[in-house]
Amino acid sequence: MQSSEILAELDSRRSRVRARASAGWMPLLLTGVALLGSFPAYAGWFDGPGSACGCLSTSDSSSLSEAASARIGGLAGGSKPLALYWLAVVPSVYFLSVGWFSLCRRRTGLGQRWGLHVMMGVGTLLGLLLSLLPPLDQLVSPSARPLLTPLLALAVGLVALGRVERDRVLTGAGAAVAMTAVVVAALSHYTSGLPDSFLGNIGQALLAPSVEVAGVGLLLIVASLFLRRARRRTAAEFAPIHTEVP
Amino acid sequence: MSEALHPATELNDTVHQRARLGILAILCEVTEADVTSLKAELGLTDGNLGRHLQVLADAGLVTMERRLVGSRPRTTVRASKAGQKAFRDEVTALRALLERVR
Repeated sequence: MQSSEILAELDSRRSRVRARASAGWMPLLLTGVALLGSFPAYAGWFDGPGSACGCLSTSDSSSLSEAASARIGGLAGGSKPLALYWLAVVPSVYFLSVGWFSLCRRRTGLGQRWGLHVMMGVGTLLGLLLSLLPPLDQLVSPSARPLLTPLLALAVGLVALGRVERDRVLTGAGAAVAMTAVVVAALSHYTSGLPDSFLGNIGQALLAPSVEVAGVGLLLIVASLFLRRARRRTAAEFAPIHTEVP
Repeated sequence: MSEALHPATELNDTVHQRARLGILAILCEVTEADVTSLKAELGLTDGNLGRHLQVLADAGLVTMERRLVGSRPRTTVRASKAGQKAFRDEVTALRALLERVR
């Protein structure tokens, strides 16, 4: 058998196995839905932080339960609905993804056991909770915290999943979510001081963090559906290669 | 004067076999695979696959683990670091050989 034939066979086999084992579209879809679902909470927060949607002040809490509540609110810069949303959604997205990978592994017999996933998920959650503790919470300004803290936790979770599953698309998506969080937080920080007339109505609407986060969510949903389709097509394209042992 | 060795000398006797190359190609794409999926993927019989896996395991290129999933025993295989390196080196040697022929 020629070297070129062996290499071609190896390439096609690797592509087929990668397509069969790749299940990264589901975490991508879940992340997209989570980002899209955050739109009402972010929109409420930007309508008037401190006034609307049960926002909490982190400074004047007197009792222990109020302090704990304020600490949870601190996850999202003082917005309790946003904080509760992300505290529920980030672990859900992660563990639903782990369940999905486990199901796919059972179906195809290819992939990683769930122990490592769970360890990474617990690590990500601990990181998220640690970021709420002083003095770490002081590293991020309260105005940027609602965007940075939860989205970065989500991004770290995606990158971790991508690394465990050897899925470059997931790792890339995690990096994209992290970049989005940083860019949107920076834009929100720098445009908050500008007068309303400077940006105009369209500029304000487009630069609203809620719209930008939801837009990225929508992009992830579309990308996940494309990925799913491409995966199915690739898996069907390669016929099984039978090998006779000499 | 030192002359570069012919790429064929870089080929690994243990790895340079169609089925074993296939096994390593699969295990280098996924972290681990069970024997049933390897068998289906490569179109090998139980006996053939077992023999090739034993050769790879004896050379320290793969590790096998047998455990119970529910009440059924399941054998999973994963490529060791040495196995991943051996596969990469084999592909590099094959490409070099191909370049030389061209």
